[in-house]
Amino acid sequence: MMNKPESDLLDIYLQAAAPYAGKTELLEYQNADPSLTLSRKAKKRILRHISQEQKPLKHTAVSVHRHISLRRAILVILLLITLSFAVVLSIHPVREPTWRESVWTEIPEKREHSIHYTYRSENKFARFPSKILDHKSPQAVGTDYVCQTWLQTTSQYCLKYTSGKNEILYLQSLLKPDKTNGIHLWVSSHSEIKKILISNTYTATMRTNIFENVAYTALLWTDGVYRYYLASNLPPDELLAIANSIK
Amino acid sequence: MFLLTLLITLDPVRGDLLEDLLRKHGDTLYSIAYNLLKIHGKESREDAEDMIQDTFLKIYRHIDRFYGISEEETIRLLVIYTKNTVKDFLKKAEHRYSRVSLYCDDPADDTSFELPDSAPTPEEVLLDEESARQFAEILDALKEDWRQILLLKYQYGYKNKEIAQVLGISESNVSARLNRAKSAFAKLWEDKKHDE
Repeated sequence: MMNKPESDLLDIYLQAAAPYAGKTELLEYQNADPSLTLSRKAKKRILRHISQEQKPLKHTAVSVHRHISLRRAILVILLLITLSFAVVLSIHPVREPTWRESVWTEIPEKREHSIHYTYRSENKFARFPSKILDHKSPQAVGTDYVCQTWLQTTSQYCLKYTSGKNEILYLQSLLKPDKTNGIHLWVSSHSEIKKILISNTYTATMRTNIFENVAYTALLWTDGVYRYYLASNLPPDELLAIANSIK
Repeated sequence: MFLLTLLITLDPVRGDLLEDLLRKHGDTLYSIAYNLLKIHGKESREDAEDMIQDTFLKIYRHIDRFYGISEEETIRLLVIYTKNTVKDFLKKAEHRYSRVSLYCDDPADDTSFELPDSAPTPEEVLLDEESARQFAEILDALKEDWRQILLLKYQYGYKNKEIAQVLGISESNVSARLNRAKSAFAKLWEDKKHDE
């Protein structure tokens, strides 16, 4: 059980907790007075009203029959156009997303007990995927670790590996050019922060904290599309090897 | 283009789901709407029927959100839609008589979201299912407006614009209310931690 959330991870906690919440609404539903019922007439009126909303053309001079025929004709034309597009364009551009990697500038902001990292996209023409397209994971985790998919949303992918007292937390997040792309690294006067190279390509921030005589190491880096966060109580060298194995 | 085609093709299906929802839950939602009106001294069967009509119109516009979710999730969502339609009605009715609305979000109260600050803790400690349930209890303990906005956002993945439509408030009020709800959640959490 953790003692304090990081603001960036609070969203994740809320996402994890929300499916178990909402008891009040369920109770309210269960305790509703069964003697109060909508009349059949009212139900019909509601459905009629919605169907009017659904079919605004009904109110024009066009007859219902002509309206249905027109809809069918439009449907056929649209299907033909869609098919034509699919044939004319090659499958690759249709299936593959048209996003482009960006160059991100890491902006650290020192706070009282943490450093808050946000990312600024430097490429005006970059386009960003709307969801995580390839879920990556560390490959060099020992076979004795139990892996648990802790969270999987369109923009967050979080795995937890556990083996005895050892824990590894892996978080892959979609980088978007808005205020939500920040993350905290908690620091104290004993923390050590340095830059380190991941996969000989990406510069990562490595932070080591001592908490209750246990050293915790966290790595934070981006690859132009995703932000990666890897944290564990394993020695830094082992964690780095795990980071290098992510694919 | 493809989406438009799909929309036209799926239209009858949308209608079917809506009809199912109305048939299955219409009476209970009507009862909830009527009771809420009664609590505010505005009991009227006709108004409650109108509320259900407006609720189902909103549901129709967001019907895609009702596909592929469990029965419990559907019920929670339907109750949220119904109660907020009634609240919106009461807010407007109240506005007719008074310039000051009880339900209006006070912009001056728009505090930016900050987590309570205490000793630094390593982020490596993780959340398991038991902890998620504990967090859910905190979520349930929040006042209705805050709990519902967090449920819409984090359980059902609604965008701010959609939340604004469900709750009958502006998009900027949605952001402000979300911030306040998150702050309240963090504070309750901190209080609970101190109690333990």
